[in-house]
Amino acid sequence: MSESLLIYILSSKGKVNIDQYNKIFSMTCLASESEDDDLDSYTLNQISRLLEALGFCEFDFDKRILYMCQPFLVLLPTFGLPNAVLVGARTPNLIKNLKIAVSKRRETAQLIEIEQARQNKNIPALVKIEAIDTKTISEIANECNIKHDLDQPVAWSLVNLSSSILELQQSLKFEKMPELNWSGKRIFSIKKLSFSDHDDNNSTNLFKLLEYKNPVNQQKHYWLWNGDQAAQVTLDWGRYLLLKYNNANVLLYDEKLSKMAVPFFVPLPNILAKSAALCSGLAPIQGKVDSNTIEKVQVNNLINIYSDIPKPIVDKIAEKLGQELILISLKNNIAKCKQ
Amino acid sequence: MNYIEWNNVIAKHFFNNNMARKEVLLYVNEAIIDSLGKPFGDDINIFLEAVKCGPPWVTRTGFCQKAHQSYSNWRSRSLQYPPYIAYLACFVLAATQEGDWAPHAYYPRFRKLLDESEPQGILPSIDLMDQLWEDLEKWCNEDKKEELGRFVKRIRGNWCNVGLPLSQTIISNEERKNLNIIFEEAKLDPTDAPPPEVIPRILQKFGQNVLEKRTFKLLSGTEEIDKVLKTALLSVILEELEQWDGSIHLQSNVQEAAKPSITKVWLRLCLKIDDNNFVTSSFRFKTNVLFPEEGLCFELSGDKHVWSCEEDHEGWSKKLKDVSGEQQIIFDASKIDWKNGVVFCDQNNQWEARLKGETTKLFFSGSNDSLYDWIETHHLERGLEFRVCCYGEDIQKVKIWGESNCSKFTQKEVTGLPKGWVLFYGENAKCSCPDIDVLCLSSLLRLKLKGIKVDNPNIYLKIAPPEIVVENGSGDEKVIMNEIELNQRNRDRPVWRIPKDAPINQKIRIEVVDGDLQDSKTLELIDPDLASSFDLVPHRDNFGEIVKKEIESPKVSGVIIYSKKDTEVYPLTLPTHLSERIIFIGAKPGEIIDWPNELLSNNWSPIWALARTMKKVWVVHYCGNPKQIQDHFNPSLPCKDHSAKKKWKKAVWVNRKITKEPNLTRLRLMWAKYKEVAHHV
Repeated sequence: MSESLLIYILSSKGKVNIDQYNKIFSMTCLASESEDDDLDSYTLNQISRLLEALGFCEFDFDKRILYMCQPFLVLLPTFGLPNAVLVGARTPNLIKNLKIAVSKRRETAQLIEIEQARQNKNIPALVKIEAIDTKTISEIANECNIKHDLDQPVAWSLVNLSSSILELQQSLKFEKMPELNWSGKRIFSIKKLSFSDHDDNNSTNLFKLLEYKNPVNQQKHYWLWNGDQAAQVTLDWGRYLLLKYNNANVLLYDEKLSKMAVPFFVPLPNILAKSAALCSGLAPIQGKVDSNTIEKVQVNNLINIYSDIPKPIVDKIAEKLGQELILISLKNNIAKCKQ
Repeated sequence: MNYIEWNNVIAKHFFNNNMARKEVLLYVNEAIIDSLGKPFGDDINIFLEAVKCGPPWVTRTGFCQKAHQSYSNWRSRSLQYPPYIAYLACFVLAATQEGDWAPHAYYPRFRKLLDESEPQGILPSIDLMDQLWEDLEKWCNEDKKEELGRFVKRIRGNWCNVGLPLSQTIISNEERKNLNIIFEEAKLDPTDAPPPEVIPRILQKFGQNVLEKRTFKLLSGTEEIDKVLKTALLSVILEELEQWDGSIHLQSNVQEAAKPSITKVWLRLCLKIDDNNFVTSSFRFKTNVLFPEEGLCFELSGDKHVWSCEEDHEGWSKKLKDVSGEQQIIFDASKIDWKNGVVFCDQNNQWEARLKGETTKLFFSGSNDSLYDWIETHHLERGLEFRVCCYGEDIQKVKIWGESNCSKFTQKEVTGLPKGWVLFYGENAKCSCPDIDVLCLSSLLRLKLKGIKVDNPNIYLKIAPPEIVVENGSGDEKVIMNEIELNQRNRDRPVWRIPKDAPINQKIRIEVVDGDLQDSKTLELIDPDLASSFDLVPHRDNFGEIVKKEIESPKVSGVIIYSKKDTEVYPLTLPTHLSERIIFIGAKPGEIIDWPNELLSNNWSPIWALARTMKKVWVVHYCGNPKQIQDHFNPSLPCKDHSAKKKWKKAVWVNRKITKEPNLTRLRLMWAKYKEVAHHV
């Protein structure tokens, strides 16, 4: 119950401003866990991103509002029996009603609840229905007044819907312009795969991604520079475009385990993150590269590991991002963090 | 304005969303009436004429009779506010009239105000006005659930009728709004209010430009008749302090210049005492203000480090630390002069964190706030274990006090404290230590509800009921919920929990009683229900950006896709991720692949995947398609390869006791057919 408390409260409110969300988050999810005061400083940001990727809610940071999404059942890209995961808002009563509806069809359907990994304990457990066919799932959904889309695995539909780095490249207009003189400027380091105050990129690199903070409203802006020409980009896509221009591959895939690892500070753009998370319905777990540098992903770099990513979907994700997958054994190269 | 218009203007002025959960005092004087009437070209004289007439439906002649008639059955009239508020305001207005009357002379003031020439003595039917005050309390606290403020009916002194309006004059709205100036000057921490007993001294010292003579008189009053109102005044002031965000909002007639908008927070010393009696001290703070998203970076004059911190939980910061190096350094608070205090500044975010300079520092265990260490506090509480650090003359004073007024009190030899400071361990203080404010033991019993409210101030979710926190209890206090005493789960913490079987959708009254003292609150628990609409969820374009204008397609909202384009059909893949070794079984005995040792076949499709777990158990997963289940897909004629048939039999039949079958009945029946065939292969 406690891990779902945040979502139950938000579900009853429908929408809350970010300040209220932060307060509710603080009261339901935060509490000093250890004497060493070592709570992950990215907890709030990370959990917010994960909640969005798993289809619970949408954050509109311009309006500073969190919107809960309506309860919805979508297909996972599983083999064999269809599995539909519950996304969006929920209450204890809604879960109870689902259980009742499933128990009436004990021969043909079952409700499966899977706890998230310990490091993701503030994210509600995965609730999915496995049935002998989609018709049975549809009947259950209708009985509980839950809308559903069971035609295609949602992860597949999302990855196909997403734009690509090629489309971004074609839409960007580089223009000659003087550099902004705002203080607090940071540059994306391809070496560290994160923003840094100092430029440690190879001087031969033509393209640079810079972050500027508006001194008045503190809003951040991102510009991709090509010599003395620049184009404004969004953060998530801008990072991957820079990596593409520098032939830097960062997406790791373990074909045997069907797991994909994405550097923590180069997260997937919104729709692709949703696609990856909704391959399993489970939040990615955090790990660390613990032996050798893997192409551009250095030792000790934090990574998010997504489970159950089928090859067709990971190929599409990589294609959309202009990445070539790095095929490795995650088991031998990655240490899990704070499980 | 006519009576009802005046009534609504006055009601809206006092009862509004800004006052949600705060106590409303119907403090009305001539200036307020004039200012409320001004936008309509009216003044106090028009107001008095209007109240003499009353609302259209009153027919009686006397003032109190008219007021009572306005109240009778008012809820059936579909009005926005109770129609008697203007009458009650008029009673309070009379109490605030200046003139040559004895301080307690209420009726002459009233008659002068209404220009009545009736004989001396009480007003006819004034005893009926008690019903109006009581109804106002009910409307405010129950009907409106404190959304527009909280109203408390009190009686000043022993005057049962006139004591009611007099009780509304304890502090004006104007004074209330300017209390933040006093809080700022007195360096009060809104998250750690001083004991109420110290407040009058603070107000006397710092309130000269803010408070009216009437308020000072009440504060310094020693008469028993003023006790109720003095306590009420202190409660209002503490309530204002606790909701103060640390900034200064200067109101109207106070002459002092406004200070720049800097967010001020008060540092709390945190002590960690190890088994070798070494004390490590650090800083954190608590605030009512939201933390900047990227955290804070404080600098200290003459210090090269940048001390960063962010929110830990519930307004508490993490410890101040320098994280720029390879190893983070927690700020060593023993290097600071605790007597004079210190100021850290974050210029970027305009935050200031200050340590209040004092020669006695009191600490309670942080466990109440889910914190480790001993955390500095500014008020002593009964029944608790504490630590106290003293310097200079305070050492002797505290020692003498502690040894005779606490159930346990010892000086502890420790290292790690700033030079000249001494540490005492104490438990269960019985009375205050004279002259040392932080060691003042309060007698004001307070009950607080700590939890997440649902839109309405007094409504909580049943799945997340609030904690009941009692301040200043003697240790023998009783907490009662709807007349049933609650059990305190942990005697070390003055915290009670609402039982799991507490009723929902009805008023719950929580009361704390400690000897003659008592405090109470009401709340309601509800089951969480889904929000009524999810229509406002934004749409994203195919780059994932929120669309500002309506676009056709493709777009996505949450994970709901709006696209006219058909997606190619998802190419199903075999579940090779299930295990490091999987045996795929086909419909014909002999169709078997031991993956990854053998390659997957293109000639036939597996129906089952037997995945081996760490415990050497095989788990059966169905990997055919749903249609095959509907067709009751049975094993067909075997292949000719004997070795393959043998392997097939072993996987399906021989290993059956170390195989976990599917959960779904339909699948189990299908698997049973495979076992039966395998048995006879």
